[in-house]
Amino acid sequence: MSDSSKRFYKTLMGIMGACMGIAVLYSLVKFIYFNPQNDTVLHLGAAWEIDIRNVVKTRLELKKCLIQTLQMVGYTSAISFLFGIFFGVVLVTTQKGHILECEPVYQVLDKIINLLRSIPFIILVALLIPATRKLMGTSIGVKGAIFPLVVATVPFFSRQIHAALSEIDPGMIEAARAMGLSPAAIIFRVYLWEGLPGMIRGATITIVNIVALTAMAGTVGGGGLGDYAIRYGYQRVMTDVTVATVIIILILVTIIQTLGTFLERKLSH
Amino acid sequence: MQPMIKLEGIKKTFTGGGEDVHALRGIDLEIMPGEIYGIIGFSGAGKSTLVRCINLLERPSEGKVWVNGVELTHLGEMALRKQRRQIGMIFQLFNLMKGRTVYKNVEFPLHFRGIPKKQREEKVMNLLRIVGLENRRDAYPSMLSGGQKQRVAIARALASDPKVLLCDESTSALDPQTTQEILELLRSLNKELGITIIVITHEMAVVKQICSSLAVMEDGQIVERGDIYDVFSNPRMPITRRFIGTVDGMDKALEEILSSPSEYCSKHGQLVRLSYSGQSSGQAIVSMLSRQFGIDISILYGNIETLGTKPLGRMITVLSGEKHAVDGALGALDGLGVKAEVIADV
Ligand SMILES: Nc1ncnc2c1ncn2[C@@H]1O[C@H](COP(=O)(O)OP(=O)(O)O)[C@@H](O)[C@H]1O
Ligand SMILES: [Mg+2]
Repeated sequence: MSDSSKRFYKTLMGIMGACMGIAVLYSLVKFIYFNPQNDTVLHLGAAWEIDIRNVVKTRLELKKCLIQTLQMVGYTSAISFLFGIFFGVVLVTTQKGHILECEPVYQVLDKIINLLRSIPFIILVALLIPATRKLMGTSIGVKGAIFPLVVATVPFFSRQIHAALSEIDPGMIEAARAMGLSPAAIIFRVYLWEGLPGMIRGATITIVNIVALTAMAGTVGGGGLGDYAIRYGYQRVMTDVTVATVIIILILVTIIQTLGTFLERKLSH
Repeated sequence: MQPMIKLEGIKKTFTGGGEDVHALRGIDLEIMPGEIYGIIGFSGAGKSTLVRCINLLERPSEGKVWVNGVELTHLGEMALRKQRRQIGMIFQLFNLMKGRTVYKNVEFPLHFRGIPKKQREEKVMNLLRIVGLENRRDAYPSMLSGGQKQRVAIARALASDPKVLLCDESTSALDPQTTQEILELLRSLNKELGITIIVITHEMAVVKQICSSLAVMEDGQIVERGDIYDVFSNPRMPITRRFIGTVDGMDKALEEILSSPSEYCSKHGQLVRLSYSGQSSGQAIVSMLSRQFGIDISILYGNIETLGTKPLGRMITVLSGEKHAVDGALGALDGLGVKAEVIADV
């Protein structure tokens, strides 16, 4: 089989898979939110009948919590990426032998990042409550969760960027210097461009990590899917709610991972 | 004429990491415009450090650097960056931007210089034509062979119209055939654009093929230098002889002869190596001496090769006859501009 036809079949399979996924999701959403009979038993073929009465009953809450999770993930990612890329670039360029070599800056930043990364998230949330209140006006809900989420994510993402940019062939930097590029030009045109695939890999891992953190943030008053699972699935022993939450998070993570991998492949040559 | 590159008292010491490394111990060098200057030495001799001191990728610990009349060691970062544009550089492992196409790689140095897009495109396509890659403009470096990558790197280096091209081991990762092609390309660039080229290498074959002058480096110093013809015909340092030996059938032949002289020479006499300007004929020299001094001269080995622009002829001969006659012949050779070196009695 020729290369182009191989690529064609691969694309076709991908599109078919995506269509099937969307179809399943569509019928599930339709079943939960738009069934006039208020049927609560999901029929999968003749043999499988799954009772999702509690999910249907709490569907409005589920919708609200899903949106909260998406908000938390969205805001946290956006803010953390800005800071993470900045600190990642600072780390990699101030390292010994790099374009803005500055040992003190590197050492201090490196230590701070290690320190922040070693604090468990739950404890970080508690520690930050006063600061969160000052900064965001509240320490609960989506608004109160974003600050600790950012504080936990920035060090993680900075490390990911640091790792991704360290992989860049130093020869490219050398060539750019020989051409007379300024450090700023080298950062934008070499590090950030040539390191893009690695940075996207880091971003994917980071977003998946944020999803996990938001679930935890929920338990301490942040809202979101974690909150939903605890309040209904755990405290009221609604097992179908717990399972549904797990499946939704699984789907979220899969979408993020697939998109990330796709982009990374597309950009690496 | 003022030199294109002038180095004065360049020293470079790497400190930190335990012991100090004296990579360069005082280098003075002048390279004239339009030269192809070879710098040869074994690994660790300091060649890369030296070439990086020319465009100040490495700041020398001591000494001054001029390129095209401008003292670079004097300049601030901004002015230095501007000067670097007229110093192209190519590398052993090509150092192309992997996430950019051939076209984008060559265009890379032209960005943000206020050159209109149309003009950039014209220039890039013209450069790709010069290096013979116009049909690979949309390929990524990972899709190219080593030789093609180096061609892209050369086109990229030429994009900012440099006066000087620094080549650090730029053929060392290539096979012999491709090495030939790249060296030919460099030679034609030198001829047609008048670019001054500095070739750093550990291979004498490279120097021999394209350089007009060379310097031999050892342990951070230049131990021998000069016109390629002079160095080849009259090497003074053992290390230079070793390098010449690697590309020279002469040394191998000599070794062979010395290991079993009786197989090669029917008569006893003095084994002598002759070097002469290839314009005169070796045969004529031999027959004239033989007639004039009444000695027998047998030629065991001989060749002529072109170094720079001049042909260099060399022979291994055995001179046999009366002692005073042989000595007389050796003396006469000197007057003919032939360098004679007595190797052994056989
Ligand atoms: N950045 C550096 N830090 C410390 N030592 C170095 C550095 N660069 C080169 N050296 C040392 O300087 C010497 C010369 O190196 P180099 O110029 O690369 O030699 P060559 O190119 O002739 O092989 C070597 O001993 C090498 O270990
Ligand atoms: Mg080297």
